[in-house]
Amino acid sequence: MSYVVKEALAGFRRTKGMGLISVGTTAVSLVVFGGLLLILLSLYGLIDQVKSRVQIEIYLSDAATREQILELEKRLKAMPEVKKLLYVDKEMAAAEFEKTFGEGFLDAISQNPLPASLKVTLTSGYRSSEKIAAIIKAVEKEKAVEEIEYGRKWVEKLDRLIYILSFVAVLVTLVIGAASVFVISNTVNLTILARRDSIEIMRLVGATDSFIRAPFLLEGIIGGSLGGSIAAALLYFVHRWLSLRFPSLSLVPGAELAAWLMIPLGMALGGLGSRLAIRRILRHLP
Amino acid sequence: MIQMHHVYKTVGNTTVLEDVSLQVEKGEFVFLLGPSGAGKSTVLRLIHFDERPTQGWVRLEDYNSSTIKSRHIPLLRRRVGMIFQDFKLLRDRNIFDNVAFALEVTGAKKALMKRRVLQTLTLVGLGHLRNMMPVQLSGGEQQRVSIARALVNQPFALLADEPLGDLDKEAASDILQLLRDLNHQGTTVLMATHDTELMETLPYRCLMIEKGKIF
Ligand SMILES: Nc1ncnc2c1ncn2[C@@H]1O[C@H](COP(=O)(O)OP(=O)(O)OP(=O)(O)O)[C@@H](O)[C@H]1O
Ligand SMILES: [Mg+2]
Repeated sequence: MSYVVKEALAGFRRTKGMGLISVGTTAVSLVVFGGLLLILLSLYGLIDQVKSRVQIEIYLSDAATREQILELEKRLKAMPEVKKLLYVDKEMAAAEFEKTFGEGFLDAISQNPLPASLKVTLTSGYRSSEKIAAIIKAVEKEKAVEEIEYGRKWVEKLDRLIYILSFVAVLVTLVIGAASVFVISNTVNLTILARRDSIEIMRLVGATDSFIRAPFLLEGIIGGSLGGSIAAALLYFVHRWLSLRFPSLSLVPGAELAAWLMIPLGMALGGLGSRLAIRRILRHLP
Repeated sequence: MIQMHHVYKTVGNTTVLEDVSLQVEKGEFVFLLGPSGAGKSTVLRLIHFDERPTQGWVRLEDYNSSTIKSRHIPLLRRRVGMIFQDFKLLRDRNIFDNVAFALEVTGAKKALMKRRVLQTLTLVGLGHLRNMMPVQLSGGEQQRVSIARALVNQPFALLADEPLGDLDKEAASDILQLLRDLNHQGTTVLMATHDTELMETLPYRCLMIEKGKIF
């Protein structure tokens, strides 16, 4: 065991710059990969935030009784989609109208024409047009309901954006992920290839494949975790700086987690890269 | 016991060995004598299972080239010492670690390893160079490191490929004496050389090889 650790650490010294290049490549690849992931996550957050402004306005009929309105409220509150419910009575509606359009308009009419309404705020995750349609369907037949309105065009546009974004996210993850694996495994391959002679000699003096492999694997994992840590720290601080500097961006909470994810990812990539490289060499030796 | 049975070795279109049969008994000291390019190294490499015969078979104790599993080859190599013609030292570690490596692969204890390596290095007259890197050593010194590594496991057989090739007269006679002492203690020695003088002065059996054939 101590041999494996000693050899793995010595490996960095022996390959000199190569080990550093390997670590650097891993870090750069993971910064690109993680950065894109964070940007995508933030866009998701941004869109969700925009959608949170989407409200369903249920206009109540003037003839609705107190009981009917309470019944409607009860039904809406029972739905998981509904986050907040605000009752606006006729007087409040009028006041709001006057605030927007100026006093005097309503004075001309003897009777207040504005209906009372329920403003429904939606739970995050339920802000798609289908969910909204479902809510509307559930309550539109209620006696108290006169009319239901919501920013349909907006919601549909945002839905489409989310759809496209998801597609891009999958594509980016695959393409950049594959590119990272390729670049990292190739760099690791170079550092191991440089020690091909040593590996051959080890075989000739009676080392088993697993004995030869172990230090290289550990070396790859250490290198990968170093690269991953650099990437994680960089992403974390940039992310933090951005969210402090531009609080309105309201980057997704927990996005830092995506940054820290680069450490295990680096380890896995480093280990895997080493494993593949060493196998390629061992297979071609007598 | 070492045995080769009607062994042919071809590489590409060239026939390196042709119908080679030989046998070396336990405890014997045998010279494999032939000019450059005769196939001496190839014979030793085949016995060390670094290469496989194209035809025929090679046997070393219980290991037979036609039946051996590749995972058993490392075990065999730990029990047979090979002195490589081109030394095959690990450039990336010092002399002590080079010799220690042959013990390291067997999982030997640290203390035992240290003692054995120092003993063996002293035996070949290199104790004082243990912290040097291979590139800092002369050809003859590197050759003696290779010899020390072959001996450190206390092998039952030694395959020596021109072990005196890069040594001056004095060092050569020292190493030859070392090999003869080991042989006295029971180690089988098969030594490839092109030095006919050795054969004339020493009472050992001699296998003559030329152009891939044994005479
Ligand atoms: N892998 C190979 N590919 C092509 N030819 C080879 C190969 N291995 C050996 N040979 C040829 O086989 C012949 C014998 O080689 P070998 O190394 O066994 O000779 P040797 O007797 O050890 O010579 P020397 O005394 O110079 O070390 C040589 O002519 C060499 O060119
Ligand atoms: Mg030779």
